Amino acid sequence: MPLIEIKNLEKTFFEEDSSPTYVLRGINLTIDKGEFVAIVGPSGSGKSTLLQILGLLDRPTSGTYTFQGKSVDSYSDDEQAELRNRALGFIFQSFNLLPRVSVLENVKLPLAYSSISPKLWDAQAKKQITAVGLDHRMEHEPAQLSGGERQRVAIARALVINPEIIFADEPTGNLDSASGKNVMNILRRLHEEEGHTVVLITHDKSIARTADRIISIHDGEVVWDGRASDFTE
Amino acid sequence: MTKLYTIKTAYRSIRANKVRSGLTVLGIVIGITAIMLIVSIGQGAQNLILSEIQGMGAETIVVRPGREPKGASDFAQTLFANSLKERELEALRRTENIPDIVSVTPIVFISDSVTYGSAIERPTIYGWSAEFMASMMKVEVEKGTLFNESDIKQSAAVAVIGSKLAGNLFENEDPIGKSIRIKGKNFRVVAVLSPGGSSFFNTENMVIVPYTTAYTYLASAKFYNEIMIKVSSPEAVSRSVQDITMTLRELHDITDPDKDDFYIETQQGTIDQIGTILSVLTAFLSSVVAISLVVGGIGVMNVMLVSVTERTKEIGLRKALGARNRDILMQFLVEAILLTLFGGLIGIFLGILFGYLVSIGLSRSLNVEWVFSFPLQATLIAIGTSAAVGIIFGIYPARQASKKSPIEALRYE
Repeated sequence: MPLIEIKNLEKTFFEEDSSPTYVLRGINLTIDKGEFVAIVGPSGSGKSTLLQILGLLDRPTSGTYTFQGKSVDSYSDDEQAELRNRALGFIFQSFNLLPRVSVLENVKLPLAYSSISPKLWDAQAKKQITAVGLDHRMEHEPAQLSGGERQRVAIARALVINPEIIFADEPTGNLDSASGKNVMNILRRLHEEEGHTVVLITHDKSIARTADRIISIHDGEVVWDGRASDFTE
Repeated sequence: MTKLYTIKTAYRSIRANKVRSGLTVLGIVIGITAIMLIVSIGQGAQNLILSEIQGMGAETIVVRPGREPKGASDFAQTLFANSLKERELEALRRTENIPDIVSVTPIVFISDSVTYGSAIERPTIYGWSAEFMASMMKVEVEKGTLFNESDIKQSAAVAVIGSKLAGNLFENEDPIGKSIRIKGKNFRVVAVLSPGGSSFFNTENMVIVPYTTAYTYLASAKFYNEIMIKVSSPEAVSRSVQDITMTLRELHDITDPDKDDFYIETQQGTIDQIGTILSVLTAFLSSVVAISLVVGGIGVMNVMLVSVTERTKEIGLRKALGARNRDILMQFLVEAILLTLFGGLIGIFLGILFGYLVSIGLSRSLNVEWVFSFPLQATLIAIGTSAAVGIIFGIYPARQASKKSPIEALRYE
């Protein structure tokens, strides 16, 4: 059973006084547990919209989305929120950490919306902060950290509930090359050593090659889907 | 999301913007302070008045002839009503009629002039009992001695006069032992009262004679203007009122209560009346001030709406990480409630502080026993009201926050 299966997925934006924008035009793909997939495409190709739909942050115009064998199309907002909390981890280009709140509190944020007992929150969050090598930054606020460190906090936050899948949207986009490399190494390690499923979105083909599999998108359609080593474009 | 975490998050966000939070709740602070102050002063005034009244005896019942004046036209009837005479006095004195009785004192008012030599004055003339004068009205003697029970029995022609009247009639002479004339009869002055007297009763310009003397020699129509009845305890007042009513109705063959030719007043009635007036006044003033709470609430709503817009990205992030709509709603609602509750608590503190200072100020400047009383009920109401303002004016911004879509919110810069 694939972890994610989408069929004929379409997303169209209807705006007043202009013709509809077809962002996704019939996407079909499956992602299995334990895969490391990169979705590449130029800006405007629809890759971000695809990620938002896969991440249950947005709903498709048509098509079906099956997660762990269950159709999530008919899920209510609350059910989707529960699934996001329990099974999905997000890493954003702009980190999206809460300002004026410590690293520890930031990493604990997903736990606050979970059914996990508050007694376990600290231990679980500290474990993930230590795993990304920031145990000496526990009580610092995001403003006191470098970009690379902030993204590592975001990774710790994404992992704190041990999700089924991690979505990383241009995780290196705001980082210098050394920090970006460091972040990619962590994602690579999470996949190889701990068997995490990672879906990476990027416009940078060299970063995409870090993954095992590449899905290339153009104008809302999949133009290439295969092993990263075979990706030539 | 756990309740504790929600409250912590809200508190943290309020603390992150200390100055703004402070200014936001200023309206609430001022409103609650004003309400607390009004209630506290109202309560103090009530306590002061009640203690003065109770000083005159909560176990006292007054029976008057006629009907309780309900309008201007009723006064004439009351003035000339003569239903309380010797016979009624005797009936009320019997313990088989009124078991809780301690003492019965008739009172006679005389409206006439008093002369000494060529000096003429028109003071208030009362026929009192010795006991009423000494232990109930607690008059204070400057010189001489008050008349006593045997003077009452003998209908002695003696008079106690107020200090101002003494000065007006006698100028520099010593009034004790001198004779004054009332209605052609000589009265020997036995005592002069101290200036002042109790705050409800000005004794400076009055003449007090034994009620027997007043009844026999001075009253043109033979009846008592009031009969003061003292009963054993304040608790006995209401059943004694029943007993008095029954006794007098029986004596006068009255079957229809509308045709009563007497009426009864108790201190409790006066206390109730004053209490009602003061509570109506306090409620009125408080409701005027409550308008300021509405204004304060609108201020809170305004700032909350700005805050929701500012934190659009935070809302999106929280939703992406699993917050449900109601988690976001609760977070912003609790923030608004916490904000107004803080304002309310500061207002309660300031209101009580100012109330206390006012009570000290009034005690000193008016020279009265103005006792500060902690307005517990108002405190509880103030806490409830400020929380309610938070709910009423926080719900709209909180709903706006909860309705934001996660991607729109995450994209917001």
